[in-house]
Amino acid sequence: MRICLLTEGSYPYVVGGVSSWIQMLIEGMPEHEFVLYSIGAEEKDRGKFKYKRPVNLVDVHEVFLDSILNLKSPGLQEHNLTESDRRCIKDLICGIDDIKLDQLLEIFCPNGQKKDPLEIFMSFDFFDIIQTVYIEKYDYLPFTDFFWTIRSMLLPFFYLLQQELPEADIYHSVATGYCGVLGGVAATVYKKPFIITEHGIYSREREEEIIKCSWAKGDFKSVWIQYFYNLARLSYQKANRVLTLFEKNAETEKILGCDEDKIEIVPNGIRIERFSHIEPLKDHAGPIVIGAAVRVVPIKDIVTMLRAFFLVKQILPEAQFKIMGQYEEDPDYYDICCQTVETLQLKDVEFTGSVNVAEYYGKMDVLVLSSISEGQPLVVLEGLASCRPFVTTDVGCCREIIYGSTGDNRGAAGVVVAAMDYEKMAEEILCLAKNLDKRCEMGRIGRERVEAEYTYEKFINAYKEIYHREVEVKK
Amino acid sequence: MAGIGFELKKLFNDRSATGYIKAYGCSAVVTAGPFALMTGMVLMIQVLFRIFDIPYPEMQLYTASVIYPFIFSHIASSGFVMVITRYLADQLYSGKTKDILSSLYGMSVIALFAASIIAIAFFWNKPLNFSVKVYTYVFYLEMIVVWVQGAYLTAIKDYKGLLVTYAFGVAISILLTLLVLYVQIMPPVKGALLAMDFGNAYIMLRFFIYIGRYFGWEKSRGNFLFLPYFEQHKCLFFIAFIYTIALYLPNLLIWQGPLGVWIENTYIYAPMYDVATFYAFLSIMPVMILFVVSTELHFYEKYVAYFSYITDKGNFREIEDAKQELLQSMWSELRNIIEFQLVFTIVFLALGNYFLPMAGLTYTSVNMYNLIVLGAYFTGVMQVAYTILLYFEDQQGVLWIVSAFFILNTVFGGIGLWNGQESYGFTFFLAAAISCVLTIWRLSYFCKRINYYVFCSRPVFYQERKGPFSRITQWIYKET
Repeated sequence: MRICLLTEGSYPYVVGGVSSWIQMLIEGMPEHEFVLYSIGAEEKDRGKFKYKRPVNLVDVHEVFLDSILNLKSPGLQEHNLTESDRRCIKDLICGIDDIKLDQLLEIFCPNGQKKDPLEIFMSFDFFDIIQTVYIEKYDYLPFTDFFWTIRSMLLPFFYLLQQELPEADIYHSVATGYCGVLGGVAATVYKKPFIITEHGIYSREREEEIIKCSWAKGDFKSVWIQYFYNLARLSYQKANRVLTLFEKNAETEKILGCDEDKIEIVPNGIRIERFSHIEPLKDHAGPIVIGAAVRVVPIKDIVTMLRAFFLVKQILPEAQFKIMGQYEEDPDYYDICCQTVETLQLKDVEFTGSVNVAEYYGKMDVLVLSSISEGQPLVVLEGLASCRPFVTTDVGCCREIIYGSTGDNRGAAGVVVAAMDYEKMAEEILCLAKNLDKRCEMGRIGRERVEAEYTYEKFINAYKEIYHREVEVKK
Repeated sequence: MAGIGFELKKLFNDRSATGYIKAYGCSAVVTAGPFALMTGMVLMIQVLFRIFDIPYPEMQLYTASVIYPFIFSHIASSGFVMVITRYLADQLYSGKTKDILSSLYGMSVIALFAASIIAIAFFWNKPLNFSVKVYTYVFYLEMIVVWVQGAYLTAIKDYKGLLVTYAFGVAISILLTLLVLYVQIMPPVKGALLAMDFGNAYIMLRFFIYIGRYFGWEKSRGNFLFLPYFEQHKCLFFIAFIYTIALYLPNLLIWQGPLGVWIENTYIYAPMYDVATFYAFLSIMPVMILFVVSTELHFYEKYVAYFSYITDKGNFREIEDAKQELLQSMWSELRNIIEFQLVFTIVFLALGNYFLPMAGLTYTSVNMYNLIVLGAYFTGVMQVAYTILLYFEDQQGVLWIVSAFFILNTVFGGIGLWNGQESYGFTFFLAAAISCVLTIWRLSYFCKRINYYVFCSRPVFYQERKGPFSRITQWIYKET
């Protein structure tokens, strides 16, 4: 089977959760061929892969958005859109349901012939569409800014519609957004199934980004945000199946307009054998060791952990705290952490740097995660696989992993506290530190849960099954 | 032309009667100056020739030696003048006056060089006396410079000064001619031409001083900084050039026909038709003067309002309202001008029919005059309408229009030449009328979708121009 994976701003140029996941997926199915369609930001990244290319990744199509700048502006065009073309583009801007992707494609590649996207841009018809949308929905905004916003919003999309899409038996996009819609387009053109896997919720992430950004101003932020929600909805509509990592995401997708029946949960998995050598917890005479396997970056909120540890120290002066993860990524934040250690006059805190956690987890008594945002953190799965109880903040699917998803009655594998609540965190750490039986019990439950739900094999098999099923259904 | 008289505008801020009179005066001097200068001078010197009993062929040679340089300097400089006007308007708009004087040097050099090629080629194997050739050539070059200076003079408010300069220059020419004819130190034609060279040189130098004083004598970064404008606005160059050739085309064609008269085997002209043309074109002086004033007074204000809503975060309603006001004002001004000029045209028809026969014009010639007056009327309206289009940056559209005007004149002129004298004048009238209708049609078409043109005519993203002129400029000034 030939599977086309569509990525956007991640694999193979950026190291991170989604990219590692893709690498695992491809490597896990040597019997299938993969084709990668990757949308990157800058042409200079072409060919600069951060991952070792798996042998079954047979083809890589790279498209870069900054190539748009090389397009030549044609002169003014009069009419080049039919009435229904105009309606189609208008629906796209307004976010009307059921946009006909094949028609959009027909506008930009009539009979497979590529048409300069700027030709549409320079046409009176297109201007008229913008004007109509403005009058209908946005007439409180400055028109010139609106005009340029719509242009800059649609240009990448129009450009991408023009690019050649590889042929495959199934299209699998790892986000909604541009690559999601393109997956839908490819599936429509070649009449093949299309699935989406969402790790984080793409449109929500864009929303957060846009709210913070400086390039979109005031009310235009909402125009942009709405656009990404539209793209997401369009992707959901065109997908035969929408996969996500955990229940909370599934709920969000439903709210964002995804058909409930399409959603399926396939959690990430870890190679559990890496942690099999680690012995279960036992009574030891030494001080309690608390561990956190995190990169030292703001989103992991190390400071909250340090504060919690300060409180733990008041009761258990011997306790130790090891922060396992690289600290070079954000030197400023690392400084802040060091200053916090100093200010609180904390002893026995160690920043180990990047280490192999499998060798460290055996020495830990309690593991902590204080992130303010997560998807499905692999470190928690790995910690549980090492039979160690976890105190985590209530982010991503931590609650599901710790307490079990619907239908899982194994019990708690740790405790979930509110993000940034260092007092509660300290309280729960102390409670676990003082109670070996509870720690052992939680460690056992955690290991069981990971073995049952979160293994690499289970994850790979689930996708194999989905690919086969979708391809069969389409036939 | 877009941006003419950004400075002239100040005159109109003074909304008193004297303010208006000054404004009209200034507009009249700038618009009609060179034309009035040449006419006045030629007529006076012709009178002097008669008084001194100079033989008719001599007078003919003198007249041709003035008219040829006048017409061909107008044609040769037109494109350059248009481009430099645009450069000036942009410089003035952004408040940069430092490079203006030096651009006059630069542009004069380029225009003189281009014009010289035409002149030298023309004179190369003509049997004319060499010194007459030289004096005519000098006059021609002076005229080129004066045309170029004209673009700058529109920005200078001191219309009295300009008028006095013109008057002084003409006076110098006439007095020197009188002197030459009186003391007879050289042949009359040579003497009169030399006198005119001096008179014109005076005007030219005075204008340099005016322009220098007005914009400052500071040292600029270079004399050729405007060169990239030949890339960005190459359309403007061709618009002016094609339009000007097209204006003279009927005459140039008719010279080749049976009415053509050779002078010294050098110049050919068709007095019957040319004189009629000259008087006929006097009739549209009012439209030119009125237009400068009316755009500055009414149209420009609305124009600025419309564009400032676009650039200054206006919402659609505001842009739309400003657009309505602008278009309304534009159409009503245009209508006014058309009506106003119609009155003048009728008056000119009446006066011409009465007086021209007295001045010795034949019946056929007066008939031609009548048709050319009507043709000139349409030409005037067309010029006004296309200038408005240029304000809106519809360079493509205007290029298309003037090309049509040129082609129609060529085709109809050719047919007329073949058809014979009775169609002379009519062919020009027909070409002008059709072109005028086309221009108005384009204007109304453009105005219906003006928002679109304004928003979409800019490239989607900024692309640096890297044409030959930009590269030359970079090379000269070592810019990177």
